[in-house]
Amino acid sequence: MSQQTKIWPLSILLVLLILFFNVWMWDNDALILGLPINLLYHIGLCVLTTLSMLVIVRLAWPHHLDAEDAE
Amino acid sequence: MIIAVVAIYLGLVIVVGTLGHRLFRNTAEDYFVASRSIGPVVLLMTLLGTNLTAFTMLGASGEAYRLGIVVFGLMGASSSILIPFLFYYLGTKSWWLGKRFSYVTQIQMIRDRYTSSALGTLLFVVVVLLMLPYILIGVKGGGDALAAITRGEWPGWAGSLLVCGVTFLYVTYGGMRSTAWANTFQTTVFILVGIIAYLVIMDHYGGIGEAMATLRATHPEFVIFGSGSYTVFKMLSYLLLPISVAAFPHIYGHWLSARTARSFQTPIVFYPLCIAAVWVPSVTLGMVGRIDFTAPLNGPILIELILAHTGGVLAGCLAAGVFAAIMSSLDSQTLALGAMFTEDIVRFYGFDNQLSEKQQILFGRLFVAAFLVLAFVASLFTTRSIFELGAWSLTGFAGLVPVFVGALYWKRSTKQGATAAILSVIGLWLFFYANSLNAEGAYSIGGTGLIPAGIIVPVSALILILVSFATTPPRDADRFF
Repeated sequence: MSQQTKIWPLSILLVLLILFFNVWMWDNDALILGLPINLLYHIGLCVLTTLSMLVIVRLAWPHHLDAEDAE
Repeated sequence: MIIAVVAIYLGLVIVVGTLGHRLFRNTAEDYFVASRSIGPVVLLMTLLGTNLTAFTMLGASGEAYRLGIVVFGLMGASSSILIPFLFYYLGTKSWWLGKRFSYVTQIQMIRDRYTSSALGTLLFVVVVLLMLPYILIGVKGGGDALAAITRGEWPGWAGSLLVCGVTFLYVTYGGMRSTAWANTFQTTVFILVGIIAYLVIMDHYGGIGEAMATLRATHPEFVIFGSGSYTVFKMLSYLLLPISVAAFPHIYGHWLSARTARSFQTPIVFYPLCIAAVWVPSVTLGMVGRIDFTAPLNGPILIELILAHTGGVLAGCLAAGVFAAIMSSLDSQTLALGAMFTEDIVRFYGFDNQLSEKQQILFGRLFVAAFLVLAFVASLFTTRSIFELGAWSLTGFAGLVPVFVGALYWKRSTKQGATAAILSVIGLWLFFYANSLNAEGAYSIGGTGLIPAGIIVPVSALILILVSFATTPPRDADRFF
């Protein structure tokens, strides 16, 4: 099991966590689409996480679990 | 009107919950994990409902009223990033092991993996003690919310009794399937209530753009994260709280209830969007509350906003939404504890694993009922200070996560390593909690902004690694990998 579970999705997690710390704009009070820019940024991060997880379940799904389930 | 809406809502919850009983198969596996038959959409909704509590609806808006937009980053966005990865790595593998070895609790897995009944019992005690305040917060929160919405017309104990009574009915009757179905209905309700409340109240302020522009002019510190108040270090330590999800026994129970491994794909992909759909209305409404309301408030800011700007129907819907958030966690928590007491204590110690299916179901029901009665009685004598224990409960669970990661992914981890890690969590938790009492309950180490989880989690992981390497490798671990 452990050998077949992919490690590379953790690199996506790392990128998302780095993006989470948007320190360069923490003091920016601009409003975009009526929302504070920092809120909009983090909503965008939620969308990006969803897209990332979509890629992960497509490319790195532990298929052996499903295979064993079908046996 | 408020009570009528609440009564209709609770009636619907009971109907949905009892419908689940029609598929009941009269086995312990069916009662505790729905015969591992839950599909992807219900799994998403029940995991979401179980994770989100009344805090998300009332507490998050209250924190946003106090601190501003940073609350979404600290608590909403951080969980939306981390929790799908926990489902992907720990959820799927836990499900696989559960199905392979017929587990219904996490203690069974740990006992088996490390071939140690004492380690399982130690973990059992820690998990139960961490769960109790969490359950109490829900029961107490339901009472407080109803009292605040009805302006004291209904006493707090009545709300707590309603929450416990309705949960008792469908959890004892239908077990996990009823719980999952009721959670799906309840999660839908509180997402919709949040969005409707957002639209109605924002309309009163001329729309979100107008409201935020007003807020920026009057309270500029609320629309920024503020590098003066927050550091990367502080935000980093907050990231450790959402990982507590991986050690929750009630989340583990839902993981095991999945029909297939593929059932996890929907929760993994859509969880972040659902978090945004729940948290954004809650946080922005809390912030907007600053425009018209000044502290001290009569009750939670969301309730104040709704009572000030809308009619009784929406207030009733809010009460229903709060009840939904509370019961969708309370049902899973009490069911998980019922499963643990039945399987890990009564069956394991009292009957040498020889307990009929009917007896297991009976014990499960009795324990669920006992916890709800206990929680209700305790809520009558509890002050609001119990809410502070919520963060401490999450801290303890977060500290246990390295033990589960080690059990699932590190073949070399040993029972001595896992035991030492759990003992380190107990010791550090007690130390930091005692210190916080001296610092008037401050949830920060020495005023640095670093939260205790920032120390407890890495120390727990380090001790697991060091002690495991210093002890004999486990002999029978291959079948778990």
